[in-house]
Amino acid sequence: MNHFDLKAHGLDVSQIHLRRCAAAAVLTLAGTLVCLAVGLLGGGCASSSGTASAPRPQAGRGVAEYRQLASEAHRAVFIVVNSMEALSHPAPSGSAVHPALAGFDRAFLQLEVTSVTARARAEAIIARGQAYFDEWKTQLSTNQFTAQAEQNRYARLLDHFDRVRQRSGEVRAEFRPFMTELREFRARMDRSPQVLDEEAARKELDGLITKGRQVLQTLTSVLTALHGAEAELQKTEMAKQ
Amino acid sequence: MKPRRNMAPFHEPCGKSGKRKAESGNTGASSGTKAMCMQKQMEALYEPTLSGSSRRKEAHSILTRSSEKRSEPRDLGCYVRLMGSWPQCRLLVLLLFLVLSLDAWTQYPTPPPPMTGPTVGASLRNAATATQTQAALVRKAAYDWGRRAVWSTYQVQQFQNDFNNMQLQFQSLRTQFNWVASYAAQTGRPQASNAVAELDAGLNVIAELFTFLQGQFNAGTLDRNTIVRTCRAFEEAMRQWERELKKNDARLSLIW
Repeated sequence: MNHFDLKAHGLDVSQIHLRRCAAAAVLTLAGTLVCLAVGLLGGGCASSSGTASAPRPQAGRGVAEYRQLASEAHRAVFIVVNSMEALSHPAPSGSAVHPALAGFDRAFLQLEVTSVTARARAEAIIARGQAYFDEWKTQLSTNQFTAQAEQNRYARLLDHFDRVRQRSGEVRAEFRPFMTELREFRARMDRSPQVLDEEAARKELDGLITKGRQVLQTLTSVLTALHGAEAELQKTEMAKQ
Repeated sequence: MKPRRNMAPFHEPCGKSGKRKAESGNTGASSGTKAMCMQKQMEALYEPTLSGSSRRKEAHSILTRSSEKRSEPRDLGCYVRLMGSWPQCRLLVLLLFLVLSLDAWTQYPTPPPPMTGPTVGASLRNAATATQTQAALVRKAAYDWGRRAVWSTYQVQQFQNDFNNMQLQFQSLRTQFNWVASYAAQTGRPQASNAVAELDAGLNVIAELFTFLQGQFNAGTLDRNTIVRTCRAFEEAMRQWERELKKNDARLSLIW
């Protein structure tokens, strides 16, 4: 009896197992089909983009980006100047390393990284000159305005660009020697950590702080010019709409 | 061996190590005999192998030479003996390593030009991919250099090797990027040319770190901590540059 029951029970289990297998197979097949469909659609999207033209940069993006880079560089220089001011205070007696040195190192590394893009942008604007402006002026091309209005906008934007370019030149002139002297000063501290106790080193540090403030001024002037250019572009966009 | 943070100055006077070597080398008469043996083995090692024509010439001139000079078989035997004994074999391996490694150092392949595609856009894509790969290599080289420079055993020779290696990698990056620039110029879009000018200027700014290290080294004031910090700056700046390159995809007319 037990044997018979078990046999019957075994038959039921096998039926259930077969049904489950069939369901799993159907699900797997459906999943594969869905995946294939998604893959084909995705592939279609990728191939269609290959034939399309390059995406147009957003209007005023170049100006906004440069403004962001300049403000990041401004912040980085500001932190470095602050940390140098902290270094200029005498260290507490008995400490081998100045307590503000770690903060200065962090700020200096950040400035090294941040300054690359900001300085590169300034260099590119100076090197390309009027050709750089071509990217900006593409945003003025519209048929909705009269020739006179278009010409006025062009002249105003060119004026802004010239200002940005001139101030970028000042940033370049100030930034490079500042970074060079900063690196040399930090290397001197590597050789003798007590160098800050010397009068000459203190004078050098004061000089660096002054130069840092000059860099901050030039960056502020670039930021002002960029704000003007951005406002002009926004006005153009609003007029278009 | 753990890296020491408080390290001795990077520039150690050369005389010191030389003196130490001289002192340690003077250990007695037996060492002198050993040195003579070694010298003989070295002479045997550096004796040029004779080509077939030379052997023929020697066979012709064999009568005119003294019996001491007719020592080719003995020298060959010396080779056999040298290979047979373990310390001498080690010396041979060491010499080969030194000689081969010196030659191997300067063998850097110039980067091949990127694959030219059927269109300017395709060529530009290939060039940009090669540039991104090379930029990652430069960043990795800076990272590795910084890790090596932390060790207290880091010496001037190693610095020079690392510096040269880094310069070569950077030069390769420039070469690859120049391809991007030339293809971007062919597109005739001001956006692409502006992006190239920005990226090129970025490389110039990063290259200032080479000038700085070179200046410190030439002045004899380079410290290991300075190297470590500069390597970190290199690495981070390169990471930033790579980010800029990717961000400029649209301006460079790169369609992926």
